[in-house]
Amino acid sequence: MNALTQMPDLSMDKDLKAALERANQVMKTSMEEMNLLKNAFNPMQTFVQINEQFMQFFSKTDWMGFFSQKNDPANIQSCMTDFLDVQSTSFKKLTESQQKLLIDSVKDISDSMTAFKAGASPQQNLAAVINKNLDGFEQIQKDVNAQASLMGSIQTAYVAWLQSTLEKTLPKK
Amino acid sequence: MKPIQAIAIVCSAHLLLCAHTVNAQPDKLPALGVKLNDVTVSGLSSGAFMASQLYIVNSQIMSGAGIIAGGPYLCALSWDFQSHVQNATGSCMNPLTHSSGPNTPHLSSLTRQLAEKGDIDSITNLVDDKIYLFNGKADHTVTTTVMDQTYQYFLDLGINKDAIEYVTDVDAGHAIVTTSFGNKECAVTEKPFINDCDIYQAKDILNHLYSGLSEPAADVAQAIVEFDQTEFIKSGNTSMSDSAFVYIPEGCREGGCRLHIVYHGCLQGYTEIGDQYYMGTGYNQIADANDIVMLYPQVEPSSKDPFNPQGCWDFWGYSQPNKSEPDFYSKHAPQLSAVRAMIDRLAEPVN
Repeated sequence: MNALTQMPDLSMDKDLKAALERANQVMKTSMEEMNLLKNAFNPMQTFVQINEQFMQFFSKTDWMGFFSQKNDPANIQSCMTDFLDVQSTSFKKLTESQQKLLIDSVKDISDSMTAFKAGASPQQNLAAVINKNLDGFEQIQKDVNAQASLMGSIQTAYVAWLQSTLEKTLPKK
Repeated sequence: MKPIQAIAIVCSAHLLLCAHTVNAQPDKLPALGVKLNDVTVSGLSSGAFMASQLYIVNSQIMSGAGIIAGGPYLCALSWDFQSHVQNATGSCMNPLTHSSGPNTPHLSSLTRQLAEKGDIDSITNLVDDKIYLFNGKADHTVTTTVMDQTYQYFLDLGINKDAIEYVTDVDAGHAIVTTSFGNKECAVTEKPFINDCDIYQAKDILNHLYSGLSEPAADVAQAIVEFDQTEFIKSGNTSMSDSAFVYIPEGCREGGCRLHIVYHGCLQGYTEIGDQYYMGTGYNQIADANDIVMLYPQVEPSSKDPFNPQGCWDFWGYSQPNKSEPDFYSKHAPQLSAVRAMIDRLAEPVN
């Protein structure tokens, strides 16, 4: 064989090609999700909505009566119980969520380290590493999304508690 | 290519194999002289919220509703100190605690106020109605905390406890359940959100809402009609698809049939899962055997104007993005008025 024709094989391994295509797709999806998230926020509408409802709520309060009233201890007790319920449930769910994120992150690192296989070509090994990292990225993204959703629920729970507490304790016109 | 076009092509190539045909050019929704005193509705998830809305708003013509994993009417108005979308996602689906779920006493009171103002029909129409409620044990999208409040809401409005069938003992995910169609695992929550749980849910719903129904037909006839939904849409941000579907049993061509409206959930319109919801959930077999017209309105994803990326029905106000107090819940709401116009067309006398 002529030495001039002994060129190194420059073709890409099909596994590596597939892994790179997947990486491209995952990044594209991730960007699309970020754009969606950006579109989801309408701060002006949110502000006006809450402001209007807030004003309406307080316009129904008998402020004169507020300073002269005595609160029912049972009401106070029930408000405190609800508050403790929100606090303990938030703490429990946040802890679970953090633990899951930590476990998945550690698993991601150890999976990446075991991706190399003896006897496989460098391209195949690179494909395996890319795929393991993408698996980890997708899992962590899921965990982070779940955590964001949980934070939203926690915020709602505190806001709902505040409103129901005011409803129970403020006298109405 | 839209799935529906693909179906049309496949159907024309293999005409004998297709259970139904879909028109390339959608027809006008026909007048069928359906009875307007016994209309019922059912839906899953956002379709369940929408079913509640249609039912309460038009209670004068309605006699019952089937709610699969959905919160009470006006749920997105639960807590004043939050925006509608925050309520919809934080309180109406998977709330942290029981006390941060739907604010049912407030919602019942708001409903009465809307009825007094004439924005919705009188709630006295609800008294002799029937309600079917379902929440899968493995449903973490809309939880039992929310469904319990839906149940309580209907009781608060005066519906008899015995008239409500509330099912919570099936290990199902967030899905409509069937005897053999859809995801093979009953407890999963994934597309097409139709799960094989060995339960004929469409039959259970309709049997509860209309007592004394005949057994479903073994096969459905070629009776699904794609129609032009755009003629009923009067504003630009509804996210409603150009086409929707109606199933017309042979015995309903001359008029006098009952009408049931079926709402799909998020990511379940025909642009997302083809004909799986309107052909695979088993409603049409019951329609055939009992002369009930089935109306399947359709909504599709929209990433901007309006922001509805998952193609959900509007239960928090996306269809009026420029209003601080969007109307998604009254007779004048964009989606509700469009579907009411479809009902009115179906009720017109047969030509």
